Amino acid sequence: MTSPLATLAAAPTLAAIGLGHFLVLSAVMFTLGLITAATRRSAVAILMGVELILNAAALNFVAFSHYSHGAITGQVFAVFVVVLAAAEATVALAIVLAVFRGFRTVDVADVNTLKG
Amino acid sequence: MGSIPYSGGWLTPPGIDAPLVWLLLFPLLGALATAVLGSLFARRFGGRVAPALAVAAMLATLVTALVIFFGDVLPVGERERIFRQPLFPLFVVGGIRVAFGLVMDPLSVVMVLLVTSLGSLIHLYAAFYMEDPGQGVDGGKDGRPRFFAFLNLFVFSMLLLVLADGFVPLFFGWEAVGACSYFLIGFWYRRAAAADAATKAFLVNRVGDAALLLGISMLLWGMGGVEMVTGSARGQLGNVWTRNGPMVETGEGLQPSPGRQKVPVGPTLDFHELRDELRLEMMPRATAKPNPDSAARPDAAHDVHFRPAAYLLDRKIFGRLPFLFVVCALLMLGAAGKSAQLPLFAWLPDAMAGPTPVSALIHAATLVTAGVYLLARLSFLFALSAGALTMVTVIGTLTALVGATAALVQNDLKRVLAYSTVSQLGYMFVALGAGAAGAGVFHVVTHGFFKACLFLAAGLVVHAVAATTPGAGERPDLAQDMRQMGGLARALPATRWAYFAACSALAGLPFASGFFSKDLILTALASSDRLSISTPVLLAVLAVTSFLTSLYAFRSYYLIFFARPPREAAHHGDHAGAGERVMTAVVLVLALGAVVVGPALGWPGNWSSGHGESALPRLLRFLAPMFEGDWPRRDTPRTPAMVEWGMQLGGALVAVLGWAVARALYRDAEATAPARRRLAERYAFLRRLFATGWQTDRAYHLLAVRPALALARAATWVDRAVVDRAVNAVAALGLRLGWLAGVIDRHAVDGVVNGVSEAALAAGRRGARLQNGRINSYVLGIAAGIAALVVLAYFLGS
Repeated sequence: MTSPLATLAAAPTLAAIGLGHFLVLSAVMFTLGLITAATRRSAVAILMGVELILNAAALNFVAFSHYSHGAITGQVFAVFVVVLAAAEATVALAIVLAVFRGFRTVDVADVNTLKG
Repeated sequence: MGSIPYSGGWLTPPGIDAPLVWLLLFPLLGALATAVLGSLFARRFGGRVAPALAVAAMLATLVTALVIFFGDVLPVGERERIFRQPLFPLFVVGGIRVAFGLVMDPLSVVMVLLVTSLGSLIHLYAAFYMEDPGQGVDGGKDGRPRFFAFLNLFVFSMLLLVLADGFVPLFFGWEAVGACSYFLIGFWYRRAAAADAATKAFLVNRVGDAALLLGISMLLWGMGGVEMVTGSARGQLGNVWTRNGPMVETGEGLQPSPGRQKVPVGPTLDFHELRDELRLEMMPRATAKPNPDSAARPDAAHDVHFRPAAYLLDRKIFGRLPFLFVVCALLMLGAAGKSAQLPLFAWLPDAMAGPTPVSALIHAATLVTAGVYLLARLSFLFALSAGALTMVTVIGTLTALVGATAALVQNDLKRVLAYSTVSQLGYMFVALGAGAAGAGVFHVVTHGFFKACLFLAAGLVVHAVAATTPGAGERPDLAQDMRQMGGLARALPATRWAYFAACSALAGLPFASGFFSKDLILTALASSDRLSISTPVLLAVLAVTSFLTSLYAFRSYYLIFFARPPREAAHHGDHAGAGERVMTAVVLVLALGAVVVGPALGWPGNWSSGHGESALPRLLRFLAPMFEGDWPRRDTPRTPAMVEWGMQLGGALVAVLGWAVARALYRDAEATAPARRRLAERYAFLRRLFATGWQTDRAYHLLAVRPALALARAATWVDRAVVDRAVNAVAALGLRLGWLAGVIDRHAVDGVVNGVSEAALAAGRRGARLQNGRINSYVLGIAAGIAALVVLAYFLGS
């Protein structure tokens, strides 16, 4: 089994776009999403980070599916993820709205009433 | 009341329907009723309920005894007067079946009649004497229920003792009379003297009782050896030669028969079985014609296979010590404890701290004769051992002498009578030792009457003196001091003559009852050839004792009733109440008994025209079946008439001499005072010696009390030096260990516990910092965790 690093290293040498490219893109997206979720203080911004993480995962599904056996299983999962993300955004935004009503802010640093 | 067939009674005819049990039930129920009802009804009917109940119970007992005696015992043939009534089985140990049974035989019936008749009279006397028995010493409570309950209980115990068919019931009675004696001596328990006297009597009796128990046990053990030696069990076949000739078991009990029968041989706690076993050896082997029946069966003597007696005689323990002698010595020590013989007599004079009726009933007439009764009952056993007989005789002689000398110098009237009892019991032991148990029992009877009379008369005297002597209420000994008395002859005429009659009986003046019984004893001693000591020496000692007896008896008589100018009765006589009259009547009845009993029961053989058996004094003839099988035969008729005449003459002379001396010295005490004082000064050391009962108390102190105290001190020292030190060391060690454990606990165990809790707290504090409420950091944490899991899965996974 070749290591992911070896695959990445090998990618530029290939003429066609391969799995490695997708994975790198996914990883970059995931990392960006994670950084956003971990560092931003606005709840909305954190939600946006989470969306990035979800989409990175969805991209991985599609890429692995395509490059492993070519079926559309990955795409189906990607649709699921999109639906899930929509539902999540709906609920999360509702919560954010509720939080804003209660705290007059969406800064998560200030929403710490449950902290002991 | 039917009687149960008794399988063990192979010698005796089947029992009669004599209500023996009632002899025990009446006084026992009387005691209970007196104790319970006497207290309950004391308020409603006054304090007389208890005495009335007790006297009624005693009279019922007396009537029962008379009915049994005249209805059941007398009509039966002379040799069939043994009625055994087993009541219930007690226990079975090995081959020994012990039943609780009663027996009525000539010996028992004499004792029963004595106890019940004297008991009734003394109860009657006590009912009036103990008008105020509490005398302020019982916390103001009426002591009568207690007193009369114990008095009845005592009669029950004494009857149990004399009716006991076997060692075990006898021992019950033996211990019970001791306990009753203790309670009654200590009746005035708030007086230190009474409490001490009770304790002393109890302790001294314990020594005797322990010896008795040991003797019984050793006898049982010794007979147990017989089984092993012969290799036979109980029920082995043999041929019994009883006083009725050979006996056989038929459908209707044992009948005389020339045939063979079963004989149990082995250890037994039954008097009659034991006696019959020992008599297996007593078969007429040596003599040619022991019994008319044996003429028809010349080989009868050779049918005896087992000889327990021979075995017992040959047996030695501790090397060369004759077993039988040891057993007899222990039994005799037991009897000596109860009967106040050397060396265990010192409790009896102190026992006079009890009320006078108690002294009369228990410590003069009945309880103290228990030892004599026991030795008479076991005369078949003692007869086997010449050593034991000699020992009993010597002890009796010495006790008689010591008691008489002590009685001579006492000033307390009751102590005179107590020492006199000791002395007379010595005579009874001499009789037993000389193999004349019948004469001993005869002296028990005569002594019972005259000593009870003396004591009850003394009670009247003491009452009279206490009424006229200031300060006697606080000091009971003052009213008993003979030096306070004197000149009472006119004030108490009836008492005086009763006292005189009893004194003559005690002194053995001719034709008084003591004369007959003492004469029989001395005759038996003179004609005894079984003793390993010269009988003339003993006879001489007893002659001196007889002189002293007469002297001290009449000394007390003259000191009480004469010695001083006559006194008028203070408020006695004229104002004597009904109680006083009843008491005087009782004393007179006893005096009559003291006069009559001797000649009626003991008219000497050499004074009558009869020969052989019929010449025996009546009581001895009655008792003869009890003792005639004893070996060797020691029947009085064999005594040469010369010896008997000599004894009678000598005894009479000595007694009269004593009377004369007493009369000369004490009748006019004031005139002879200087002479007596000179005598007393010259013989001061003798006086001191005698007054203390030959220093018995000091001997006790030296030999028993002091060693016991030394032992106690040594035990204390050991306790302190060794035991306490060891205990302390252990305690100190424990302290150290505790301290160490504390340190470990504080530092190690607590440290661990605290450490755990502190670690938890610290971890909690640190962990709490993670919960900072910032979602961003949570997200980072989650991410870091996932990353860590992934890395882990990568390295740990396949």
